[in-house]
Amino acid sequence: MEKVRILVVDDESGFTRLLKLTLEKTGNYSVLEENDATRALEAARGFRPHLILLDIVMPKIDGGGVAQQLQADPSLKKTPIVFLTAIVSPAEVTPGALIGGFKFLAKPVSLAALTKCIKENVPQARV
Amino acid sequence: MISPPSHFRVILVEANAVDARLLDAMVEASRSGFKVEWSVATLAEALKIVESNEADVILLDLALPDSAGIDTFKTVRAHSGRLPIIVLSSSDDEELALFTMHEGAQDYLVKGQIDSRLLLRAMRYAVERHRVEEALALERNLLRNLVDNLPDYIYAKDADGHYLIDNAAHMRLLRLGKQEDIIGKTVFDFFPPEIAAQYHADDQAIISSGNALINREEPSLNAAGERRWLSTTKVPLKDHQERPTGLVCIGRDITEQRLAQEQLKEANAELSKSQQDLLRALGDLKSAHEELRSVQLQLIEAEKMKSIGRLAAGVAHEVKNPLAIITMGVEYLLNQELSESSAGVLDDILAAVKRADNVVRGLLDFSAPKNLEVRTEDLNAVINQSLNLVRGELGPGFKVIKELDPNIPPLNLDNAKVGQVFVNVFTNAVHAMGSTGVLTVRTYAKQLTGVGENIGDSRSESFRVGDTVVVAEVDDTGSGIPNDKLNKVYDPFFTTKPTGKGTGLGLTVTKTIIDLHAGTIDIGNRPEGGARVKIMFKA
Ligand SMILES: Nc1ncnc2c1ncn2[C@@H]1O[C@H](COP(=O)(O)OP(=O)(O)OP(=O)(O)O)[C@@H](O)[C@H]1O
Ligand SMILES: [Mg+2]
Repeated sequence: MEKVRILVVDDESGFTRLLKLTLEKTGNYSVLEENDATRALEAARGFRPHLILLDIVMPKIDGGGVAQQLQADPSLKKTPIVFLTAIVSPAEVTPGALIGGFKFLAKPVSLAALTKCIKENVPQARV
Repeated sequence: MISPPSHFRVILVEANAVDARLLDAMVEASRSGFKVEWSVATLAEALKIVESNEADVILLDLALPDSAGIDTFKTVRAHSGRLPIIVLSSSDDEELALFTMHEGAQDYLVKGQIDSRLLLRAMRYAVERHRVEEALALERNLLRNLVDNLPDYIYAKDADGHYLIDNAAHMRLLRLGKQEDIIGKTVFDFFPPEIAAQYHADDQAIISSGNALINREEPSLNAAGERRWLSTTKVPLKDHQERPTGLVCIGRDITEQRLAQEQLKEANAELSKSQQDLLRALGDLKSAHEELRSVQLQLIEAEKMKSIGRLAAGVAHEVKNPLAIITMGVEYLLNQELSESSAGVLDDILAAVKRADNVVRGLLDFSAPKNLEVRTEDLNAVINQSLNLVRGELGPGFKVIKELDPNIPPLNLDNAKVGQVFVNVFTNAVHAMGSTGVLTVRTYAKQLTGVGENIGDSRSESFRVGDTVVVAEVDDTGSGIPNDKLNKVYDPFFTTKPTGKGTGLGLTVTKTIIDLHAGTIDIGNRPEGGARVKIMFKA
């Protein structure tokens, strides 16, 4: 069975490494880490992920900027994006709230919350 | 020095030598202090001696070889100055002798009727009268000089208003040259009719009432028609029977003085006006300054809160990232083959991370605490909960007195946040008291009447007269708060406690939470010592 491909863009390499290890340990996911946000588009084109996890506060270009680039690419237009953020806002505690029209997860995030979110956004992940 | 002669020196002018000898002999015989020093027979000789100005009296026969009659007298008179002249006349010429008296002769004697006693008396009187007249003239001159040299206008009038005396200053004022120009005239001769009538009426009032007018300031005109101000004193003159005979007036030109006074007054008025302007401007400036200050304070307050918000957000971000890594790491480990105890340790780690996360959220809450979970609560229960939370801080030296009114109405509030309020307040009280003290917690409800002591309580925009409020008071017996620090206690990071014991955020958060509930908080010192925190919510 084909694994669900997840691209995680975050400057915190420690976080992306552990996220990759944890998700791949379940056997259902293939995770690509990208710690340099300016290379996110390139990585996505090559990897063709089912879902992209995007940090918001990053050097050089922030998550919002990266999301715009990704959405502008016809091949990636339909790929769901979920923000992963350490910024706290009232939206965080409001169920179903969005940030700039995107779903989001607040750091620190539990594995359960993460897989639940992936399943909601990627149909193949549900089987 | 020439000593004055010890006798009066007589000039005898007599054409008849027999008469001359006879008269000389009479004078000589009288031993009266008179002596005929010069005995001459002609006018020419007489004049020479007269002009030497050494004689005291002249005995003058009018019929001389070189002059006769009244001419003789007039000529001598003209040359003799004030020297007293006694005319010697013949018996058929008494008429003429009398006439010389009018012209200034001291006396006359009719030849043939003269005896030495008569002669002597005539001479004595003449000399004496002359002396008195001289003295009088001197005195008159002195007075006249005095009056003419004074800068004030001085004049006297008779009861009908005719000028009797007038001094030089007043004549100059009226541009008159000689006394004759004014003596006998009235104000109507010098002033326009209305002004003259006014002056005259004034004068008549003084004369008829007998009351003096002292230093009255009045407008006047000078001869050039210029307006002048005069200070006038008019005193009625009375005869020895106290009947009014006229008045004497002293006037002083005070135009310059008045002008200076008026300028001074104007300057003063201007000064006081500009002073008032200045005061007003100062007042405006002050209130503008106060306004500015309060705006500034608000700005500072807002700025502080913003920077705390930024700080908190930054801290949250920096803390949450490592928390995210820890969480992911623990999740990874939990999916390994683990002993049961290892799994327990990892669960504990996750719980700790969750707690840390909550702390960070709490920090953000106070900088932007927009979300209240409001439910209907019993304030007494919330207070009891908070008291239990600080139990650990209360050593054996503390006593807690609860005066909680069970009948207070239920309130709509966020249980957790108001709980935090009381924990902060209780903690502050305990810290202020040290190791011993009494903590009193009181609740009650009251209706704001808007009178008496309640007025202070209705100042909040949240409350109106007639509202029922629930009050919670927390009294301690601690150090109290210095008066100049009372308005600082809500400032973020204001603390008097050592690092580690206080962050100075307790009351900042407390105030924010109370504000969110539209309540009020007041911190003050109790007269008995210690502080009182008074919190009010609208029922
Ligand atoms: N009941 C009290 N008696 C005396 N002083 C008080 C009392 N309550 C507050 N204060 C003063 O106000 C200051 C600020 O109080 P606040 O609760 O805001 O901060 P803190 O207690 O110093 O620190 P923390 O953030 O830990 O609460 C205190 O440091 C103290 O000086
Ligand atoms: Mg405190």
